[in-house]
Amino acid sequence: MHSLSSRIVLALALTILSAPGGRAATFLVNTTADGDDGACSASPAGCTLHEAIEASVAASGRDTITFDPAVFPLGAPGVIALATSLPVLADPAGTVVDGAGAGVIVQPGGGLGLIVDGLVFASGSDAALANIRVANVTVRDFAGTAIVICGGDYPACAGDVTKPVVENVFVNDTGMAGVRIRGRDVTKARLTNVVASFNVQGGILLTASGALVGTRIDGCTARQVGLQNGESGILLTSPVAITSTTITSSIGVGNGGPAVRIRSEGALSKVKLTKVVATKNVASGIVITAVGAASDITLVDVVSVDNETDGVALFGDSVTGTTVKGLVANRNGSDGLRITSFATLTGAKITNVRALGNEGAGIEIPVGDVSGVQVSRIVVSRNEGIGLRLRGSGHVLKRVRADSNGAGIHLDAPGSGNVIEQCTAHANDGPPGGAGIRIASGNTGNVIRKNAAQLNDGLNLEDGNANCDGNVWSDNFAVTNAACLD
Amino acid sequence: MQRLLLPSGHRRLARRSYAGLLLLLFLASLGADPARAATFTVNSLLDTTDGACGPAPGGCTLREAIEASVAAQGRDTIAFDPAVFPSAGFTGSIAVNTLPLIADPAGTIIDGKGATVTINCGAFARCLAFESPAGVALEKVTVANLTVVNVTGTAIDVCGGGAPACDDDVRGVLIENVAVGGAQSGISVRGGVVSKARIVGSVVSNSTSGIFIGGSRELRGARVEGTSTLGSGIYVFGNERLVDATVADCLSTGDSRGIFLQSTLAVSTAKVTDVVTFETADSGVRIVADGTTTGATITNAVASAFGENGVQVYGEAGNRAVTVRGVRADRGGDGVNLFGPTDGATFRDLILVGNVNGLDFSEPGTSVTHTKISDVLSVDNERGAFVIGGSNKLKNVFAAANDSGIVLSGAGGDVVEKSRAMANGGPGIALESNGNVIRKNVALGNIVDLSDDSPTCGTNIWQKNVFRTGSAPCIR
Repeated sequence: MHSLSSRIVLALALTILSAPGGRAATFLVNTTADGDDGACSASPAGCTLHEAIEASVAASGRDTITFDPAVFPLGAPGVIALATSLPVLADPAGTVVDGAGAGVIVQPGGGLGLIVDGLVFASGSDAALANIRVANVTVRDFAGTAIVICGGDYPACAGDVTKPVVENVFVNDTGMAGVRIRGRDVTKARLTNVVASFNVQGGILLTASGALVGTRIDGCTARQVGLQNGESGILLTSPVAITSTTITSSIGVGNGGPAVRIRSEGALSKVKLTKVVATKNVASGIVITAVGAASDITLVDVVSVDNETDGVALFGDSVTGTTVKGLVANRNGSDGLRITSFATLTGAKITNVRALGNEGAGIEIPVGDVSGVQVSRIVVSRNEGIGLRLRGSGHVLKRVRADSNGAGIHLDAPGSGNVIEQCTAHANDGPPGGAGIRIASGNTGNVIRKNAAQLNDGLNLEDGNANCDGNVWSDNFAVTNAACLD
Repeated sequence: MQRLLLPSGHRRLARRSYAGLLLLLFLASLGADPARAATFTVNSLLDTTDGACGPAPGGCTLREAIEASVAAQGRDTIAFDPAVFPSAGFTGSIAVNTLPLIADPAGTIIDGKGATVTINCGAFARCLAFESPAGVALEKVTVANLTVVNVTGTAIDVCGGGAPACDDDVRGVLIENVAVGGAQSGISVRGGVVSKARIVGSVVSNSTSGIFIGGSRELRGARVEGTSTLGSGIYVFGNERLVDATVADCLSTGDSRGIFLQSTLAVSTAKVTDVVTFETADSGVRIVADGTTTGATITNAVASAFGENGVQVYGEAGNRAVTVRGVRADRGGDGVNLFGPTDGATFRDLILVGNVNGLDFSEPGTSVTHTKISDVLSVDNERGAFVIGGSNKLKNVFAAANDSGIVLSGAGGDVVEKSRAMANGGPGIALESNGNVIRKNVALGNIVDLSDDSPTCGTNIWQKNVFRTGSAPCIR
């Protein structure tokens, strides 16, 4: 009797789970084979991944595909070698593919080139795609992309994507990208502990044809990806706007493009990178670009070393509220930190930055109408170019150590009302001029006090204005060539 | 004695007058005592001597001022006339032959404050050389606000007793706002027991040896702050003991060594903070004792392009109370290295990139116990973290794109939790010991994600880890 009632309860539960109009169902893959008899059953080897996908697409609701640990043991993963491409997981309500507790590898069976993409999620005809979750699987060796999350029809991907989650996933050795999330507006994507390695055309790519909002990336690694097309380890792009992005504890090593590239053809706001490491990339380490306005960009404890171009490069039409704190940018092929505004740059805070041995400048803010930059507790040394170079007005440079560069600290014109104090600029010895602290002609009304500048090849203190017009030099420890320089 | 009765306001006035009188008497006594300090003002760029340092224009050369200060008792001051050495717009220098020894045990002050002073020393062994008679301590030497260039030997040499032994005590040296360019040796402070030597706000460039503060017996309370050594390094040494040494806010580039604090026997309370080293053939920052170190602290250090270690604490007989925090070390031997038996250390907030080993506590003779290692990013090294010892706790260690990730060996009993090992060319987390607990970690994309030397995992506990490949079924 007890057994009968248990069976009834179980049958009811299964009915509810698998009912066509009901809530989410769970389909358990229990074979590594790749056949398809049209049914995903609980009998031994009765449900292939193909069959589970077909069943989940057929069922309404946000279904879950899991894997039998007896067939896919954790630690000695079961390999699903596909004979044909998997069906598109075309369910607007979303689908969960989760290998938690199991060891799952999905790969082509016939070698690279026969099957294009691995797991493809889409929602069909411009419908929005929501709540995709891919977790705890390895997807590898595909000619195309390992995991595709596509709003609307694949491959057009013209629909929105909301709340996709990719977690604890290893995607490697693909002919294109590791993970690609693509749609019109892409909102609240979460990528955690994703490893993308040896993917020919990029690691983790989020591309929106609308806005890209609320992306969070944590603990991800992109290693030696994008070597064919110079693509990035982690890429976020939008032609409209990118807002509220955080990237933490993530790494890009030896990629064809930057470790992290964020590019908005429109506005870019509230972007924060914390503890990101970029090294040996065949480009700049980190590139953040807004063709429109860039606001509230924050970098904390970023390390970018040995990249072929800049360590960190920020571009924007108007740039406001930038904070760079604790950056280490060493031995890059161009500048350590470069911030370029095509119109205005205001209110940046640059603190505790170390930029050493770069082939360009240590820190450079070269163009635009630049104002209100606070630079403090900086060490720029052994850079072939200028240690710290910026232009504009209302800057405060305090405790900058610019020693042994091509030149020390340069304020370019136009500009006015800047303060340089408690800085050092010693033993700078290369072109252009090897000056210690230099104020260009046309930058006036500045206060330069309590600095030390000695042993430079060029002038220790240099004012391009005749008689230091309007600049106040006081209490500096330096050998000088003009009385107005003190 | 009859008490003088005055209104209260008058009493206060009287007290003040009395105190003022005492002060005047005290100041007068200072001026009247020939043993007290005198000031000699250099007012000539020449290097001649007529045996007198006079106030007449051109009447006092640096040589004459030194001779006069040595002849006079007390801690004299040599200053520079701003009319001759103007503080602005002046590029002249004093070209000297070998200067007299500044041999005054009471100490001497040479201060270019308010002036622009450059001493061009030429091909001589020592430029500004301070000594005391054998068996007598040298007190309170101060050199400030001047530049010394073109020295074949040592630019500023402070020596307790006679050179070359320099084995008498030295106390209270201050070198402040001094620039040295092109010297064999930049600034040297040597003695038997050297206490409270300070080098502040200075720079040494193009020298073979940058800054040396050394006690042939002990070094106490040394401090180097706000100073750059460019093409040379900072070496702080106490032969038998190094006590309370601090190097803060300093830069060292292009030398055999970066910043070393060393004793052949014991280091006690050595602190290195807010420093940067670059392109050092040896290590970036080292705190070294052939005996023991106690209280070695390295915080906020960046070491780049070093031959040996980015940061090392080396106590051959042991290390106690080591703290290493906020270190960034890239492209060298070991990013962070610990040598010697060590108990109870703390390593936190480290980013280590492109080294042989990111974190290396594995050299022969090294065993690390009860140590906390947390918030570490170790990337593109041969080994991300290699720890030999036991009962250590690793938390939030992220080892990525190394040849191998986190490797634990030794006595066991370690805990690794909430850490990540990603895309390493060998094992992600590997155990070569027993009794460890490995839980709640993520290891993906490694050749083997989790590895245990024992096929049965021995007494290791693996639980709640996210991984794909393991060396044994017992790994969970």
